[in-house]
Amino acid sequence: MGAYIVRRLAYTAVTLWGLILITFLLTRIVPGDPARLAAGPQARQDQVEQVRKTYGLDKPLWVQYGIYMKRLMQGDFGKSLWFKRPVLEDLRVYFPPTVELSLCASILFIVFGVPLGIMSAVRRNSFLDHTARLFSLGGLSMPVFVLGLILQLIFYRFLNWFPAGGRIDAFISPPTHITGLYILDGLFTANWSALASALYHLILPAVTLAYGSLGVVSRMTRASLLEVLGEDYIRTALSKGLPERVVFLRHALRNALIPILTVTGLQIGSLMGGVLLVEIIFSWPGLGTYAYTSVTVLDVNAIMAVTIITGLIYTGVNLVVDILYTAVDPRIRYS
Amino acid sequence: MIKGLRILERFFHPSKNPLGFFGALILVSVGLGALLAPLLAPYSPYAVQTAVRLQPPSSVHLFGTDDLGRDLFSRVLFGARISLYASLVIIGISLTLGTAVGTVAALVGGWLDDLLMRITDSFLSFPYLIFAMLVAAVLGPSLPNSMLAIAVTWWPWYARLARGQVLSVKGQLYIEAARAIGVARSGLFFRYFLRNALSPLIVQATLDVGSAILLTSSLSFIGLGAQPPTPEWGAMVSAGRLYLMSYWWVPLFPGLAIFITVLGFNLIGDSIRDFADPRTQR
Repeated sequence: MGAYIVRRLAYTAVTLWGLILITFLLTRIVPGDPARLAAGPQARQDQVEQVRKTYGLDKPLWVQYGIYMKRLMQGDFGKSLWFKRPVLEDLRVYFPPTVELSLCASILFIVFGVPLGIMSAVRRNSFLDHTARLFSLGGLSMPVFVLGLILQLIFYRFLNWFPAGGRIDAFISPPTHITGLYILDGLFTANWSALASALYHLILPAVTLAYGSLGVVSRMTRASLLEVLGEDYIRTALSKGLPERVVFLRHALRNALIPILTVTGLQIGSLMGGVLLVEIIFSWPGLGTYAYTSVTVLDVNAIMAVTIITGLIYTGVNLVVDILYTAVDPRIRYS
Repeated sequence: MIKGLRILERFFHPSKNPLGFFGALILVSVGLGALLAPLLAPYSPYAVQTAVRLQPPSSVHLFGTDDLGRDLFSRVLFGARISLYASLVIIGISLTLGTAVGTVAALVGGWLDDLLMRITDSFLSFPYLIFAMLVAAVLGPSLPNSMLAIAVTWWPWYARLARGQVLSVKGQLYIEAARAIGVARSGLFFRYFLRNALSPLIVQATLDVGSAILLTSSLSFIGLGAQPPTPEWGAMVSAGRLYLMSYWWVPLFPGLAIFITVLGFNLIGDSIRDFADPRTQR
């Protein structure tokens, strides 16, 4: 078990290093000129050179890489070329809203997706199954940015039940900063009006973000359960007279869990992609909005930081899932 | 032949497989729409008519008109061509690249296999939208560049699949038999390896067309793909977003076009998967 985790950790480290290298090379070989963009369109050539020098963009590629890696190891992401301040400071501001949104969406898609898949599998080929499958497939087929617009149209424009964007009402001050997540901070400081307003703003973007993953998870749950339900040991269990409920919960569901777990992990990770579009639609001041800005102005340090952070979360979640496997399936530990 | 027809009949039968039938119906309509766009479209997708700006859907303009008075129905029809074309190119490039890398890794093995697989893993450790966005931004915003960006993020999936396939085929008895009776190396490779290893890859690629359309339109929506006035669905949603609250049809119809087309691909894909996998049949 220990050896398994160590091996997984080593793999993850290599993968992450590869990710950093790929991003680094990509951002340095850009045909556009980051220094020119940062200096502004009216800047004279010597001013552009000055910017290039300040950010070390004039040095050979491998020297730049060495400096970057050394700083990164000390937790320093460098300075943003656009906002002209340390990227780390920006991350402190933009990261918590994204975490809040993604966590909320994850809870939604797990709580609704898994039961939907179970229901579908148990009542296979019924009208209920077909409806649930169509609904799940809808999640896979619906572009998040279209869903976001449709929800805004229905729930803001026509019904006026929810706000169209933002994190909190303009006239309510955010709760005292503890975690940066308004929901948690509101709870901790018993600031109910801020909590209510934050929840109210969170619902539409969270639902928009969750729908796609909900489709994936419910489909995987259905498929995985159906496969297990076709196994001989299920027939054995049923034919020796065990109640269906016991067979289902103890024999089937438990064995179906691994693929469900994998997909859930992957989905939590890939929310980091969808969140970008959702944040743009709902003017959510998070990492997606930040990434969008930095990409359009080729802010190399900011782009690097966002990619590293999202890659870290993505691989981190998958690592946790892999380690959870060993708890669910003891066979993995010994192989 | 007769057997194939029977399978098809069962596959697309409205009452035996309602979802598959529905999907086939969608895809046939979208395909015909794309193919016959110049004949079916009542207006040119680029024709600006400022006199009829932002008209609601009517019998004259089925989907209404946009802020420049262009007929949205015609634009959505032409958009089908772009989306189908883009997704096929993306899948083609990534499938070729992925198969090449995966096959080499599996056949050569050793340190090269390790190296190629670590590179593949590194590519897979980005959420793909972020990665595609990064590459598209680096290459500069345009439709071909965004297609390339998506292909660059996509090939590792096929590389992994191809490697697994080749490895499993490698151990099969018929390969050993072919080698024993003296089949030449090139014949062994093309006739036996690739043909047997490739079929699951091609199935997977077919299933991925919907996702490729989704990604292409997402990049265009962010402004990193097709640029206006191209009638690309994602770009149309992006430009029409400003009019959502008062003239909802402008972003809504291109958006629904993406949804319905991708749904069609996914419905078909789902049926194929269910059909092909005997384990899920009870």
